[in-house]
Amino acid sequence: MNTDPVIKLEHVRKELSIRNGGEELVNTILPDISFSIGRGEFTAITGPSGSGKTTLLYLMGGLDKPNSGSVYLDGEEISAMSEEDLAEMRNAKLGFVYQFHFLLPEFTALENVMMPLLARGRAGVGDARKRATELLSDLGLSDKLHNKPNQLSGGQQQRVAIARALVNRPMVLLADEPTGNLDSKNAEVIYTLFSRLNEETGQTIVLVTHDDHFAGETRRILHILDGRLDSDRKLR
Amino acid sequence: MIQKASFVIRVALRHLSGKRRQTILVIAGVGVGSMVMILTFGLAGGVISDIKSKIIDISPLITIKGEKVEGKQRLLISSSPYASDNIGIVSRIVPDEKKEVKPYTEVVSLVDALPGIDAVSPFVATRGVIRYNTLSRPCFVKGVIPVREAKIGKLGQNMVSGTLDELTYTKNGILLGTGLAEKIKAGYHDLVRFTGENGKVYNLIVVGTFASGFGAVDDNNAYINLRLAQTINGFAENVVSAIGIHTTNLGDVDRLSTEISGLTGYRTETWEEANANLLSLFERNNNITFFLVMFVFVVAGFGIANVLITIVLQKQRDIAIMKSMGVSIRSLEMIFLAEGMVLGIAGGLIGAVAGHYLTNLISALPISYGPSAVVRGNHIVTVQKPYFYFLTFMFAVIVSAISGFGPARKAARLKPVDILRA
Ligand SMILES: Nc1ncnc2c1ncn2[C@@H]1O[C@H](COP(=O)(O)OP(=O)(O)OP(=O)(O)O)[C@@H](O)[C@H]1O
Ligand SMILES: [Mg+2]
Repeated sequence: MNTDPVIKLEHVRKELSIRNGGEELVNTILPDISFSIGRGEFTAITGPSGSGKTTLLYLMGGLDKPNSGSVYLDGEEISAMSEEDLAEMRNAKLGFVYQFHFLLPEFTALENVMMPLLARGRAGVGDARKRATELLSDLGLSDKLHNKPNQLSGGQQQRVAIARALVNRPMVLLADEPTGNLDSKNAEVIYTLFSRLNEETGQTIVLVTHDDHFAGETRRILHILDGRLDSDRKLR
Repeated sequence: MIQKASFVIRVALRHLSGKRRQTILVIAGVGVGSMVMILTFGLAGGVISDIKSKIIDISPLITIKGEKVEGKQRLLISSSPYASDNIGIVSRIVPDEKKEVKPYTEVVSLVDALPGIDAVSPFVATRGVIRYNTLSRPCFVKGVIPVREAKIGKLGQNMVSGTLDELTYTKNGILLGTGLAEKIKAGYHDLVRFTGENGKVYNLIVVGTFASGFGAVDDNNAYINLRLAQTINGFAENVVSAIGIHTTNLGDVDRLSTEISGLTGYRTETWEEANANLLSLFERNNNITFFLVMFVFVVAGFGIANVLITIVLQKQRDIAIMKSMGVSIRSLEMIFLAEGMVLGIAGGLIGAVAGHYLTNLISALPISYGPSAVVRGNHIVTVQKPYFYFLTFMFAVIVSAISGFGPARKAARLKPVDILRA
């Protein structure tokens, strides 16, 4: 396996502030965290609720910026990039699955999945439709292509969001509790898909999960406690 | 590039068609705003144009007054081709002279020969008291040559009863303003008594009544034959008090007025100078209306902006999602710019059509003005000009485009997480 790091965090500090009346309360979510993830790694991030997993994933995807420290993706310091460059980078290299799926309500399942391909003219409409249909079929949604998000169950929406994250064949897939809304049978579909992607194409995957069984399917588990790296275990 | 544009348009149209009710509501809102703007324009423009057209309908465009301009008397005799060279001289009006033009026939033929002159009508102004049975009223009487006077204004068309012709062949005929006729309760072919300033009493036959639209005119004015008026005023046959002139083009009035003054040596007055008080009153009124139009624009603009900004703010989350999947900031801005423009164009077009019909409807409504109204008529006069529509439409489109673009631009520049976490 190629262990050249594709994601690297160096002394990352993240604070979030909440306004309470006139005063500002600063919460330090991640005091100082460093680790790196190699190309082709399949990693799970675990930890109790509120420990900072989502925050960490946002930083890795360039959706948020650290207060100090640096985040690198594919050798580039994304924590120093402009918003426009970040958007372009995400379209080219990143697939992101939100904890709360976040689909676009006016578009059908198929159109939601096609969008990252069309946004920057990465593919024509015909090719995009073909690829999106394939992915949705792999995820067991071949009969829901033309449903709008509000005509899908929570688990189906989650699977559409996963298809959308994968449609660009991203270098890195970041997924925040991708099986959170799924029954064990459908969760199994996702495990299988992710494992297959990782094994067959060397897809780098970082996922956040509460599910010990799912975490056990991966190759490495980063356990977070109060924003600190509590343990880093390589499996197999 | 084309793919990107088609992506932007796809997303914009889907947003609009996805929220159909909201879209229709916004278009209706923009439409109502534009419609009100067009109506306000039409009404504001209508007031002044109504006044002007009514003035033009009843009064000469240029009047040669019975006052000499110093140093110009001889020009009348020589009628030099270089007469107009003297126009630049600051003229001083000779005071204490009797208000008369004499010999008027010469002045008339001189002016008649000028190019751009439609009609020349000499007249004698006098006053007196008119009486029918027991009712009497003081009035202003204009002695005219009916065929000539008919070409000056719309006196012919303004006749309510009788005809101008009848005045021509009735030496002692009189035309009464409708208001004046009503006040003394006299009608067509009634015999009225007129007491002139000379104290003499004349028996006159009412040969018609007219309605000019101006309350003051219809309540106080009457027409008789020129010869009779000369007799009443004690004028010789070649003397009149003034001469009314009508030009072919309204735009030539000022130029011809100075030219005629130079040519004849008499002071001339244009219809705008003669009605300066009335016009300035309505001009001032128009300024107020202009501010009202501006106000309507601002209110309509705020209404349009408010709805659109709300829509974009509702879409903030979608903006963040699209951005996190890599849609460029530019594309996001363009999506909402396009949405704003589509809404603005649709609303603007509907508003223009609705505004057109509403303006027509309002000017078709029968309205009766009270007897004290300065200007009378049976409907509200409105004006519709292409630039009203152009301004309104551009305004609707620009406000809509900015209201769509502005908040989207702001949202598109935030970190996606700032919106998603909020
Ligand atoms: N917008 C915010 N402003 C301030 N604090 C926040 C904000 N969002 C989250 N937090 C805090 O940051 C901490 C980490 O949140 P995060 O979402 O990363 O947790 P998590 O590990 O993903 O939890 P979960 O497993 O429940 O999803 C929490 O204590 C949370 O209260
Ligand atoms: Mg979380």
